Amino acid sequence: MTDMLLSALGISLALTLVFELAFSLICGIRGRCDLLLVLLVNVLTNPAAVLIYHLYPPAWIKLPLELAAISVEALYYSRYARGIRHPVLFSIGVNCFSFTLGAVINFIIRSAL
Amino acid sequence: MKRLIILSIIALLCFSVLTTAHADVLWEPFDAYWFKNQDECTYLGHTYIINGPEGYVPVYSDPASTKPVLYLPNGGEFFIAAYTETGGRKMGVIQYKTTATGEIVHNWGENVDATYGGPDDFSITWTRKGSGTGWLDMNMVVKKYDNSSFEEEFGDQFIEGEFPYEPDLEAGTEVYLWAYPGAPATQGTLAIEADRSQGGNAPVFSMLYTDENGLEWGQIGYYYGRRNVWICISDPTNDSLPVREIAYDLVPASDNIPESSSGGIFDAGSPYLAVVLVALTVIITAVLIAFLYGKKRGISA
Repeated sequence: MTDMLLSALGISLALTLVFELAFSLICGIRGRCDLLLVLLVNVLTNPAAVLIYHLYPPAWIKLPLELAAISVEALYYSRYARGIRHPVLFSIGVNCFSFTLGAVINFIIRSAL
Repeated sequence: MKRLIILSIIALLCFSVLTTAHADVLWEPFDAYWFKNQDECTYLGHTYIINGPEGYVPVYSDPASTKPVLYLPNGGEFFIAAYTETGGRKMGVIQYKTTATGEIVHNWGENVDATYGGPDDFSITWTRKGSGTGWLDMNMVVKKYDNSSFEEEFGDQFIEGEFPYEPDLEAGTEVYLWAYPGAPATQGTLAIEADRSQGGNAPVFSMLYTDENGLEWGQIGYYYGRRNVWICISDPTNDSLPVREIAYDLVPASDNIPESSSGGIFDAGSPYLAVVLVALTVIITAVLIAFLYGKKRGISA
């Protein structure tokens, strides 16, 4: 179980960091400290959310987990980011973006298997 | 008041009938994954023989796990209640206990304190070391020949209908029950007169079959807790009937079976290591963000 969990956590975090960094660049965020903040808040929220989801698998838990992640990230962006004008909107957008891409990749992998 | 008492009795009777019927229909393992994900599982309910290519079969704590917590030597027989497909593997769930001699065998429900109130409301505590549930690869087991196997093989020769069994036997005579015609052992006996006195109903055959030795058999679908059992109508009191030879292509059990996991909190079957690592990650990252972006120590772009 530990192997499976750690693999899931690692893959999920790596993909999330790539997606959210890409989204940030698309949104015109160029400041190094803002981009680093995007990475750090995801390191803060993503592993915890993925771990809880794996330990309590019911599908409905995804929504409160996503909302919690969006809220925490929005809080950090509004407090520390310098070049993110709308922290809440940005948090919602970046999380929807990475969640959707993750779901698509998951669907493709399951279909291939 | 009288109506309330009558309704209560009716409700109690309905409840007892329903719970009895449930117990007769499905046997379920006390497994967390099964309790949580029954929608993703397919019920099987057959006995299988362990048959790994290396002489043993690894057992995992959950279907997606890749690190075994237990190894079962080939040849053991386990009732597999259900299976699920994950990561390209078809994984079946077993429930086991360890005997005084150290042998791991199927466990119908000993050594466990469990409650079930729904997929998100249950608890399972195994009260004796060496008991539990696990998941194994269905490609590493062979289905033991049973009633359903017999039906698959000879079902086209069955005569279906309703045939009451009222043999011309003395009162109290016990007739033998069989899992299928030609089974190696009986499934107990049925005392016709005694059972009739309980409800006044004769057992009814739903299938008739004549075997290759000319013996006529009848299958009882359900009768006082006995399910899908056969009676040899031609010779009901003989417990030494010809046995149907079933050949299994089995790999011999290995002499070098890997040791099972000790079950420690940081072992393969436990999530605690992941929980600790994630908690540390969260704390360190939160401190790092506060340090890097705090008012006095803000980093420059």
